[in-house]
Amino acid sequence: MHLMRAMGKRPELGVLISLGVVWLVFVFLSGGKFAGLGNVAALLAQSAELGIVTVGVAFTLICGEIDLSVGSVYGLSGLLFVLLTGKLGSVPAFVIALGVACVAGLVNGLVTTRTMVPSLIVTLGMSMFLRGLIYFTTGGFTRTFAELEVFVNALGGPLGGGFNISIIWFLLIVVVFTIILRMTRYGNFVMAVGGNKEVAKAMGIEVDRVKLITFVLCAGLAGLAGMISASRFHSVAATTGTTTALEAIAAAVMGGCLVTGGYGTIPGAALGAILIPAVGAGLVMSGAPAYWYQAFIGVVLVAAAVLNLVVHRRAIGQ
Amino acid sequence: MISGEPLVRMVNISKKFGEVQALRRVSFEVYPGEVVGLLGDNGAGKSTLIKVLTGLHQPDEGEIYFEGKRVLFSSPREARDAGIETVYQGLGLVDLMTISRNFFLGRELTKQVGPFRFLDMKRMNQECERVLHQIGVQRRSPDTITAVLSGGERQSINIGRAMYFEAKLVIMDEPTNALSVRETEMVLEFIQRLKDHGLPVVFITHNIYHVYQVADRFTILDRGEKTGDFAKKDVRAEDIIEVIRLGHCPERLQHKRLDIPVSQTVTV
Repeated sequence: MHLMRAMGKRPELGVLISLGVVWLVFVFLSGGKFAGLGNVAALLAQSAELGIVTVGVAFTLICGEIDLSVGSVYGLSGLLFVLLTGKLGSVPAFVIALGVACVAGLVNGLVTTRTMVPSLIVTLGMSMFLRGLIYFTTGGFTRTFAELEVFVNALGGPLGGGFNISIIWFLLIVVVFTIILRMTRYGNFVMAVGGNKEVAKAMGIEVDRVKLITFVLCAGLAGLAGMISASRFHSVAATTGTTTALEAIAAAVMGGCLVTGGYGTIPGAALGAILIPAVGAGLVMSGAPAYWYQAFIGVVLVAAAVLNLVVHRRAIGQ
Repeated sequence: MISGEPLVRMVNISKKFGEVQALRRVSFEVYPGEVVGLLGDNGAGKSTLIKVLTGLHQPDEGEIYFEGKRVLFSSPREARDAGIETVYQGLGLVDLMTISRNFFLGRELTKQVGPFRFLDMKRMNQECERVLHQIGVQRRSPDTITAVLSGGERQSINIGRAMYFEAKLVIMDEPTNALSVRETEMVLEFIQRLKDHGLPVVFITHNIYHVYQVADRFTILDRGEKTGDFAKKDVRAEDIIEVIRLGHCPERLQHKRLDIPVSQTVTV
């Protein structure tokens, strides 16, 4: 009961405990291999890319919306980055690809706020549309960087010891967006709009504008993560990012975000984004068939959502 | 009850939405310290009139005076800055946010750090605690989430907020709609408490019995026109219901009206 109360105050506590348990179980099952430096490095590289997307997804969830298009934005930005780097150089390519991501977010936001069509549908449509563009552009093939410029390595190159530089970007983004959510007026508005839109309106908050900014931020982060992934693999496949949106939403929920809006933390969401790849890697290393990964994640997700709700109800005394 | 200069004076306000005449030459006043019930059936124009006052709609015709000065608010924020505070239905707060975040919502205190502006949580907590202490909420820390608060404590936050930001007028649009009996009592008590602090309140509703308990004066609208303006001491609740039901003021109540009907000013 003490634990429940503590979790109500600190939503990231639940995911931290889960991560600890998963860690111990897999270290045991894999005969220690799971704790090896190589595995930790590989795991964190995956977490960094998923985690940057998850931070944006957490913002949309807290704001009371959902963004299913982040996976396609992730894929498209990575693809544009690869293709345009060959023509314009990596820095202009980065700026353009990030810009395209933000425009996708802007369209998501504008359609959602202007038409009252739920963001679930709007972003699902955006996701399909962008994925179609990716297949059309690539013909279904993988695209590879012509040459690896310094900037590309700065985004997703090796850091030494098997680690990838992307974990630094991940950490930086978690810190910056935690501060934005907790310590700025915009962050306060995001929580208010997700918590009770009508009250927010009565208090003079421009609800639509807050949502619009949130959709743009979310898409921008997804675009950035896609480019980091492209830099790490030196290439982008037509299918890159197809599972990212659902994994990011799962990570955010495991990290304590309420799907109904108004509540959640960025560190929690980020830990959720470490938990998911950890489960995947752990199952493989323990000798379980890789197919079990999705089934396992599914169970963990629902369990986390139920736990969140119970803890939450307790915290608000219902 | 009516004395001195009105705090709000809306003169001959007209507003059309497409072909619908939502307001036709409606005048409306609020005097210092009084609770005004703005009444009428659905579609009478109550909310439109208030939305014109608070800057959500612009009038097609007419003038608005606030504290004697002519004003035209172009957004709810401007009206709020001028001292017109709107309380959301049922004393609404964002339940998942803390007391102090709710208290300062939309008017957060910030501090400059380099090129960035951050919330000044420390000062917000201090100020919030000080104000709540003054009005008698003593045991709650400002970082408690508001979901756990009692109805009385919610009232206090709304009152404290109105006082802290020096509200000059509080507007409550259908505050008792869809509320339970006890919740309704809380809202009516809230209005009484505001009145005790000398704050004028406009209470918009179509529930006569709720408003009759707390209002000093009633302004009644029907299909965009004013059909009466009565002091509470001159009429019974049943009289007001009759005016609303008929859609005009019956002969026997004409002499009780505080306003001069538009039709009579034309003939005079």
